[in-house]
Amino acid sequence: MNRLFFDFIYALSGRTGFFLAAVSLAAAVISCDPVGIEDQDDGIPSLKSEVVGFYLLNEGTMGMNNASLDFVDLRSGEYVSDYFMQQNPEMSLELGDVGNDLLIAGDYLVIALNGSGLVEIADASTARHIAEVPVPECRYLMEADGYLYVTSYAGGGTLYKISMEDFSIAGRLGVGHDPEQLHFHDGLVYVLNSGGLQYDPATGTTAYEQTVSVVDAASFEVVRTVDTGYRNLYKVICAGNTEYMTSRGDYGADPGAVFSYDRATDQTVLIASMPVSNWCSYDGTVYTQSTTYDENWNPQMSFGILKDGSYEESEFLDLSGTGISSCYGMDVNPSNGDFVLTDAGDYTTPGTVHYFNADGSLSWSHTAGVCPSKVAWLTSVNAEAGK
Amino acid sequence: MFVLALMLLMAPQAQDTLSASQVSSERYDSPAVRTVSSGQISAMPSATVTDVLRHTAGVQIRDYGGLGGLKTVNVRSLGSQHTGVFIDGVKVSNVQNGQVDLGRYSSEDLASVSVFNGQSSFLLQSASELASSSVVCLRTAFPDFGEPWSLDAKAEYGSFTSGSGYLSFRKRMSRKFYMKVTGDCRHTEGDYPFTYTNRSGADTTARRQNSDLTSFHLEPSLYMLSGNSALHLKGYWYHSDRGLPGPVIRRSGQYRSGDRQRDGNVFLQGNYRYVSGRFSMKVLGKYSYDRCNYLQDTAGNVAVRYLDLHYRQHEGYMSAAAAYRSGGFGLSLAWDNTVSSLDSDVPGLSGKFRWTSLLAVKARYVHEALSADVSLVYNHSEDTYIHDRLSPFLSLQYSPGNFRFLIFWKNSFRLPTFNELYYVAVPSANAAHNLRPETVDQFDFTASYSASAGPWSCGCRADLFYNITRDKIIWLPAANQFVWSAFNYGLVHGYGCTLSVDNGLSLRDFRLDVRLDYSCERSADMTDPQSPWYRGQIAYVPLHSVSAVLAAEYRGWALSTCFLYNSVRYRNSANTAANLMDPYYALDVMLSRKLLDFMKVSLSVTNVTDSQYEIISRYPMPGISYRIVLQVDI
Repeated sequence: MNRLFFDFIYALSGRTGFFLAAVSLAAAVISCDPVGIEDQDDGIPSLKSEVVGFYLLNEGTMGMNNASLDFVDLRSGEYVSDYFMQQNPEMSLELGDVGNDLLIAGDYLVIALNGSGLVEIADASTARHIAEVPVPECRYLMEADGYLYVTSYAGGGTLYKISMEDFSIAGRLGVGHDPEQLHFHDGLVYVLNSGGLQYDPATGTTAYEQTVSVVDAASFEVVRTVDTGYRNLYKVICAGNTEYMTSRGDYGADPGAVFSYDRATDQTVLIASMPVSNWCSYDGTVYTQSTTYDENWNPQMSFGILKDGSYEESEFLDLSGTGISSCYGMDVNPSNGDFVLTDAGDYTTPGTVHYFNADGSLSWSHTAGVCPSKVAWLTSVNAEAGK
Repeated sequence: MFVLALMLLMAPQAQDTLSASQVSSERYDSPAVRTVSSGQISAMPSATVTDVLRHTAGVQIRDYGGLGGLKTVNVRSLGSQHTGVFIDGVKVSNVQNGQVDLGRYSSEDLASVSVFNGQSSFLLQSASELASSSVVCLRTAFPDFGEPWSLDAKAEYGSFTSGSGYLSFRKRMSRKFYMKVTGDCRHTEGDYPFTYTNRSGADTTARRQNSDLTSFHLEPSLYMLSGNSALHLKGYWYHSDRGLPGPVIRRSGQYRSGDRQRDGNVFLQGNYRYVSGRFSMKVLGKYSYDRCNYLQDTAGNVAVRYLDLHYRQHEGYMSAAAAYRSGGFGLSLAWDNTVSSLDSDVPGLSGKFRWTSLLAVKARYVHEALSADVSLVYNHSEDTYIHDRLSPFLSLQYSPGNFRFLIFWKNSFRLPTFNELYYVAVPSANAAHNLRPETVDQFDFTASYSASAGPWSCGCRADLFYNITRDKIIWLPAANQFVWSAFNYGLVHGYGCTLSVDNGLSLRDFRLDVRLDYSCERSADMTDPQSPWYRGQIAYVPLHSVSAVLAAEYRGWALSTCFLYNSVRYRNSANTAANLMDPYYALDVMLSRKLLDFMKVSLSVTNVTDSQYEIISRYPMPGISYRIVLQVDI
């Protein structure tokens, strides 16, 4: 007999025993066994490297407050679902709503919660809550020189500067509309603006941004705004001294692009006329994953490699046996080049995380939370620092 | 005799067999219907349309909490879009999102609320009724032509600064004409406290904010009864302004939800019936204008994006139906046409238009205790796409003595809503993509038994059902989390049983009415056999739900209680511990006393045990609340 049935009997006993006969009949017809992810065998081989493990941020569904954080201990091979909640049982509203970005900065684990409108600051090694900083509509995180920079859609597009000393807001600066990822180099913060939500009902079009706001970190002022010529900028990554950016286009005639950006001259060079959904860099090479859609919104998945300013399609991961349907995040283990690829499934039920060896063969898979997206690698340095 | 026959025809339980004696004894004639009468409604501690439906086996209410929270009805988990809500025979529709907010409709003037599984047993029906997967009928009271005039008034005040006033005035204009004007207004601050407990047992207590509602409703009616024909013309005006408190989620301290929704609805509808011997017919017409304004204001709150959205819907509806019977054979034809339009300032959702034409034929054959019904609805609809579909229905009923056995199969569908068809968050992307209608096959076996002995009467009903929902329309993100689009993706198999027992006892001054309902339902998500959540119970469907309603009356005193229990539910078809929603029960009690012949005062306590629960995840329901009502019937 299943749990629901006993629950029902328990609730009824002594109250309305009248129905018991009917219930027995019904229960004979109906069974409903809840599926547990708790009793899943992790099957994760233990690895010894300076990477202790990784945190996996599950975005959750907007309005459901079900963002969650999993922790994978690569040394012991243990997968801990809902790690943040386990470590912070006294937080009645748990991690929050729509986890958008995750990073480890020194001793701290930092999580941007878009729906909750705040940045959670926790201990990097234990995920114990330390502080929260209100940042409405926060999107992406970056840390440099003791400050945390957060892009936010609020106020027409804002860059937040947060002190990692006392977690106070050191400054707010207007950038382009709907800023996404950001990058730091040599005292300057490069903010990619998307304008993705600048829909004008009068004209029926969206005023996409194609600019990068270049901000001087020290004075916290916009020093120049670079027109890249590509609409709806999204992500930035640096590998082998080349800065790559990707834009999402207009989801219609303009398919988006991958291009390189020269910080010295503000010049861009087109590499491929396609958007990149997820990428990660290892040893000077950028590994990309792109999801494009046909006219009926059926997803098409492709993988590739960016090296020395050129792109080539590559099946660097062996996906056979993963049954992956909705690729949602990808990252690479900085210590050995192993890959993590996440599958959001139908986006409302828990997704799956796949761990691949550096040679592209599948090592293990595990059920994650809803919309697993971002990975942060915990190294022995971070782990020790927190203790 | 004809006048009487027509009045019965317009009355809720009336069958198309017209003699008065038959009607009065036909309460259980069709076992597929559950009817709650006005007396039973007013005896309930919290007498709203949603509360009446909540206590009916097989019916689920999606409730976002508080007076202002959206309330939709869903029969056997087929989805609210499959449940047709009819007011005085005319369907209420919403071409934008397919949802009918039952919170709008007051119950004071209702003569009955009926829930039909599959199909009602009337021979004379509009094609829209025949086409709905299940039907919820709200009937307003038909005036008593023998009375020169009457007046009902009601005033109430309750917890969370809630107050309402209701007035209904009815007057006979001539032998043939009767008029009625009904109006109500209500207001609530809705700032009820709630306690939220997480899986580790840590809790937080807060008050709902921005949960107020103010509404006004006015409804004039004109009735005509003449020879073989009856006419009911009705005007309707509704206006409301409410706060949308949003889900309870972790927020930074500075957060304030200031979202507002303003609704307005005006409609004019007419219902004409004619009965002559073996022939009967009816003509229905309606014109409706609906507007909705959703305002997300940034004043004092930078955490939200400024939005000021307006939706305007126009709808015209005409239906003509005729029935003829001869001996044991009956045949009816119905033709319905609906034109709907939607304008809004949402990308892609403007200038949309749909024409739906339904042609239905229904045949019945009765031979002694055996009767068979067959109906076929041909549906033609045109928006950006054209759909042509047939909806067949078959039923067989055997009625030996006080027993009724009914078996039916129904194939029905719903069209995609305009939101599903046209809404894309990215306007330059391919706009509409073709969606197939969501189709449901229902198989049902119902048995009922009714008995009475002296002052006692009893009726019981049991149902076994199996439903298959194909091409279920589901929202999935396309491109990224901001761009969601609807797809024909889901497959759901639902099966279960419902039981209901009605007991009535009437001993001189003492009257007792007991209604017990139980339903057990398994709705499995069969979409993807590869998914680990394959066969998971779909969102928000309790495996078990139990309701008990008890009303007693003695010499001007009346006491009633309502009890409701729902077993665990899941937030979605991934039936994991994280998605588990606790079982809950709620108990309501009311005590009333007649002060004068025409005046009654009552005190009711809702959710006596202050149980903290949710029906929709992150939308807490109110705990204990009190209400005092003064009622005058002249």
